[in-house]
Amino acid sequence: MWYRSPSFILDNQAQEKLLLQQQQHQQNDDVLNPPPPPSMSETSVLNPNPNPNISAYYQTRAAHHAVVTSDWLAQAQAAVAGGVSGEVTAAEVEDGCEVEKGGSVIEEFNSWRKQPDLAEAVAAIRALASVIRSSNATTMMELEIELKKASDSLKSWDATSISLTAACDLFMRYVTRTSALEYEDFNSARSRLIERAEKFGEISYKARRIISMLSQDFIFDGCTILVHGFSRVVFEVLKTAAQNKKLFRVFCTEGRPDRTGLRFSNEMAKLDVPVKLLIDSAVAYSMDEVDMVFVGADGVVESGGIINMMGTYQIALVAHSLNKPVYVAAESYKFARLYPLDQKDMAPALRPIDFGVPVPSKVEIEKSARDYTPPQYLTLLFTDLGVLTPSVVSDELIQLYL
Amino acid sequence: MPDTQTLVNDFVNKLKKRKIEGSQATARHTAELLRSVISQQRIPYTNQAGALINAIKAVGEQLIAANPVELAVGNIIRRVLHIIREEDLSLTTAAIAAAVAAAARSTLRPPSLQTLLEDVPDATAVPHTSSSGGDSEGRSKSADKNSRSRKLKHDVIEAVNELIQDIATCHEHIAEQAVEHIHQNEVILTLGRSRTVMEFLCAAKEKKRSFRVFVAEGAPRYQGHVLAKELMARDLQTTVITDSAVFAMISRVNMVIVGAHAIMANGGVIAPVGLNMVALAAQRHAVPFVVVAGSHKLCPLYPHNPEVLLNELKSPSDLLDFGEFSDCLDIGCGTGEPLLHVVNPAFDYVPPNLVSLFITDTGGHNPSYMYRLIADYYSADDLVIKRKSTAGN
Amino acid sequence: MDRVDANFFNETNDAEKGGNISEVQVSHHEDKKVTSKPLKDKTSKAERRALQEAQRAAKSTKKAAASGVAPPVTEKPTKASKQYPQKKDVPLATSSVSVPEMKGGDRPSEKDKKKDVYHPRMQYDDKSRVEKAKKRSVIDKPEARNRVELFQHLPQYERGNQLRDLESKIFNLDSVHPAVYKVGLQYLSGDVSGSNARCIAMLYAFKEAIEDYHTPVDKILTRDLATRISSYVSFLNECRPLSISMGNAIRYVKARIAKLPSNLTETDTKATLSSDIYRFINEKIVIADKVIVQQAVTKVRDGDVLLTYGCSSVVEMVLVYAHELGKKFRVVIVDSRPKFEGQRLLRRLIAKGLSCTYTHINAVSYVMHEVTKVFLGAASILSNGIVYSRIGTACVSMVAHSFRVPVLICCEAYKFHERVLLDSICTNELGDPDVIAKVSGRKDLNYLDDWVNKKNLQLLNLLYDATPSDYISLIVTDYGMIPPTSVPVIVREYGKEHLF
Repeated sequence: MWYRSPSFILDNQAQEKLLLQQQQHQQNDDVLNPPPPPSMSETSVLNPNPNPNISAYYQTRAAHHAVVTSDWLAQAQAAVAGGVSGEVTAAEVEDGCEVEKGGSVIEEFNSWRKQPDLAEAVAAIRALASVIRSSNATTMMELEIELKKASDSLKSWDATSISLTAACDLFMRYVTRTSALEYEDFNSARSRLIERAEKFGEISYKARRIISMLSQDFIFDGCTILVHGFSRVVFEVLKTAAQNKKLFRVFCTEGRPDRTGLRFSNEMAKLDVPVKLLIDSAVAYSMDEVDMVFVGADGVVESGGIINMMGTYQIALVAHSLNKPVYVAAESYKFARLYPLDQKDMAPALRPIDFGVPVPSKVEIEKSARDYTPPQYLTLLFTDLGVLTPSVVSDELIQLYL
Repeated sequence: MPDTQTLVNDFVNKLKKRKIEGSQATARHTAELLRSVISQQRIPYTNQAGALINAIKAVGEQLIAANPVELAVGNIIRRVLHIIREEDLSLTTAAIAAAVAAAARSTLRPPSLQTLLEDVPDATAVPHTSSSGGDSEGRSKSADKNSRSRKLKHDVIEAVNELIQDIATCHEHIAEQAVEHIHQNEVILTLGRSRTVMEFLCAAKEKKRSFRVFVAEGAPRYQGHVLAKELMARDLQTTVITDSAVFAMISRVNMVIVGAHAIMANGGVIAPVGLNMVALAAQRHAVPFVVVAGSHKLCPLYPHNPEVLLNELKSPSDLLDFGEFSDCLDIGCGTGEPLLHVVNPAFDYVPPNLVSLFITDTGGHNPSYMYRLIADYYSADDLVIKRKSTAGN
Repeated sequence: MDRVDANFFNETNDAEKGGNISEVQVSHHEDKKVTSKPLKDKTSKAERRALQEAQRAAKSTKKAAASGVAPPVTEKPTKASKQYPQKKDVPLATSSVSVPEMKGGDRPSEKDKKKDVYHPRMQYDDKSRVEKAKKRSVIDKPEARNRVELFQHLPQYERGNQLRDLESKIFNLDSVHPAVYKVGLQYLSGDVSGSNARCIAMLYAFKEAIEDYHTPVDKILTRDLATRISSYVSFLNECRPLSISMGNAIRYVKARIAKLPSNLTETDTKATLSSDIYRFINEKIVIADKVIVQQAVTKVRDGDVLLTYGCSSVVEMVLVYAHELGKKFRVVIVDSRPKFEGQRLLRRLIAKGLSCTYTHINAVSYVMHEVTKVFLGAASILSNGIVYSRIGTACVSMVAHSFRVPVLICCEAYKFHERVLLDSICTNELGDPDVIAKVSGRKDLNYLDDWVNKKNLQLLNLLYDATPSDYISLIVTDYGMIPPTSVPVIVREYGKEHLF
């Protein structure tokens, strides 16, 4: 492919060096001008993601679910906590109301997001709910416009988080539909919206419960389940199965660099489920003992494939070649209108990787945090809409958006 | 309802003893039985649909328990339940305001992304005045309510009649499509005997397509012999081969056409034993594997262990003669365990990636599309047939 | 096509001409020259003509060699000569090779073709040849009616009365040695089946025949003996088409006869031959089986579930030996119509105390979930890695492959052949179609009773099929465990030594 040709790579390298120098300049000057990442809307200039080279979504996930080194954590915290609020307050002072709204959405969002048990989408919707609460609009149209602005700013703040985007879109569609219905009283409509938004957290919990109920049948006694990454939904599934006194054992992949496997195996051990920890490279070796693979999803795309933590595609390939089923547990609000054609067809989500030893600067590191698994390697998706084959996803999305 | 109860018991016995053969016959009997249950059911003036649904579920539970492998029974029960809900809905929407109707309609649709954020009224929240099936006496207070309840029953019974009609005529609709798929000088392979396949092939023959058929016997029932005789009587060039010869012959075959016992929601097929082997051979030689089945065979369940749970093991005497092998049966080692086991499964599971096309009475479909047909015919609440319906399956 | 096929179904009865063709082609390869020459000459006139042809041919090929045209010709002799030994299935590859041979401008070849007419098993499409073939055959075999088009190139006869016919003639036949006759009857009735068993029975019969043999006056021992053997072979062929293993064994015998030094006395010659045959049986079959068993047993682990299909003598030995070694495993026996050979195996294994599960081939997907390894036997393994074995083996291997279960083939090296095969249609054996119509023990299945008279209905009873090499994980032979891709290596390397 052309972007692997040598000339292109050299050009790229030169450009990157340039960018790096610029960035250093800016950080030294402590000016808000961000280096231009590809997709930035106008409002986001005011509230930029301080370090677009690191995906905030994956940082948070790592902070919640992974065992991280302290260096990395410090770096992440510096990027997330310190940067944003500092910049936001500065922006607030400067620009007044609108910016304040935009800023407070993101602030609100971040505060919700830090809770480990809350899904990203729930945090987003709660943040939007706070926008509604604090808005001064008097008609549905005005409210819609405000919400649109807020949701756009959220989306652009972290372009890599799919569930964030999907949840914002979902909420916007709901708002649009509600406003289309004839309600005489604007206030009642507004309170209704707020109430639904608050309830969304419950919906999310309920979704997880539905998914765990649906998947119980597929876990039979004596089976071996391979798990990758720390997905709260998958954890719920296995917890329910253990509570139902099913006999099974779990293989966890280590999940470098976050080492999610360590955390997951801890939890499983607490539930008295026999666990075996594998390094990521040992997946093919152990695959013939495995009966099924269970993964969560960061996002489910239109083709029916999933976007999930780096390593999922690899495991799905191995499982497919050995005829093992791959089951995905994902809530329905993670369905997104993306259609990646290959691994590079998505917005890049990078995160720092700590190898434990210093790596010379000439050595390039693959920093992407996620990969795309095409639908032909997935057997079934368990969602709160029911058990679905990958082809149903597009059907749902078409119904929603058309 | 002693009358219905005897009918039900009768049918349950027949199912348990496997006296009724074939999904079509079973489906028809079930539908007729449910029709008589409905017509004899006395329903209260409030929540007629709920009462009907409960009555059907009560009967349905018994029927499914009698023969869990015969999926057509469950399919028809779920179809009738869906019909009841639909008819109820159309009646109520005629009578009440649009907003509430929209809310009501949402209970009928399967959960989808659109409705995720909406306040979904629980289906069980609708009050059930009578919980157990069939014993409530509904004394209607007003003529209006009475006539509405009668209308519901009437509509439902009409719809069930249509369903029975559909089941009976499914073969014709499928056979009509034969001409699109079979052209001149084709060589077709089939295994065992399926009435749908036979009508399919005969329809093509009547349109003056000449083709040859290889029929694999389908041990141990050997229904292939019957099919061969019937096809030959209709002037089709037929060759009977043993099941072991399928791989050898399939390289000279253009198309494999088979019937199915049931089609699952993921597009997988529960088929007579031996068809998984044929499907694998067809995949190897890039021969299209076509499954013809009536819509009463569509099952909304996902198979999670189909070889074991949806299978029946038949008597070993089909394979081994007890007289000849009685000495083997006596020999046991020190632990006293028998040394000889004989396995005679009746069904095979064919995964969806091996099937090229489904031909049903609604047309030809890809295996990945089956979920859509299922959403049309069944409601999500009915996936588990229990007397008290649980929300969200 | 006709010409080409003529050579194929020429077992012994290449008649004079078949032999002569080989001779023409073979002049360089000395061994074969001698063996090919003395064929089934029913008339001495034909024999004399044969001699003439041979000499003429020898001269012309020498000329051709001298003129440098030789190279293509020389290659082919080896193949063609290998094809010559009485094997019924000869690959189209060699056929196309031999066509140019024949047309290579040698006059004898034309006449050869015409004389091939006498062979009983040639083009079944060609009525005139079939008529002539009938006249010469020992057994009265009416042609089957209602044949499957696809298999017109394979012989099929109505089996009804052959056995009784032969039994009645037992005291009248003087051209066939009684031991050989007995073996022929056993083949016809199905008492002896399985390639090893048939081969051994045939070789023992030959041994007896050789021991009883007395050279007639004014005939050379080697040639006459070779002719006799050829006649026996054609008789056996009429009883039941030869298997590839038998073909290889016959080639060996003929090669030994040809190599006999001419100065030995009759008794010495006979003794040498007998011991040669005995050695062949011992080395290539008995000891080879032991070696195979020793190796295959290392692949059986405790807790295994082994699946086997039909009744293979080697696999049975492996299972019994593994059981004697104390390994804990279960056996699944898959069986199919119409022969139900698995039942014999089942009985014997149960008697030895192995725990067995029995099922029919349609249920193989159902049982394959628990199976850890599949052991299969083979009638022959061809040079492109294809395993030619009992019908149904391909289905079992295919299902095993889809479940990622390794498939092991146990096969002695003498069954390897340098032919290549792509599918099961080109060469196969057609069994009696009546057994398909009738199912033993099920009197109610009489739908196909009158099938012979119905012109639209045909019954097909194939006996062999070809399993593609990608389904096979490994082949256990007496030369070791080899991948399917190494079969031509063995055929090439060891063929020369041991005269396959």
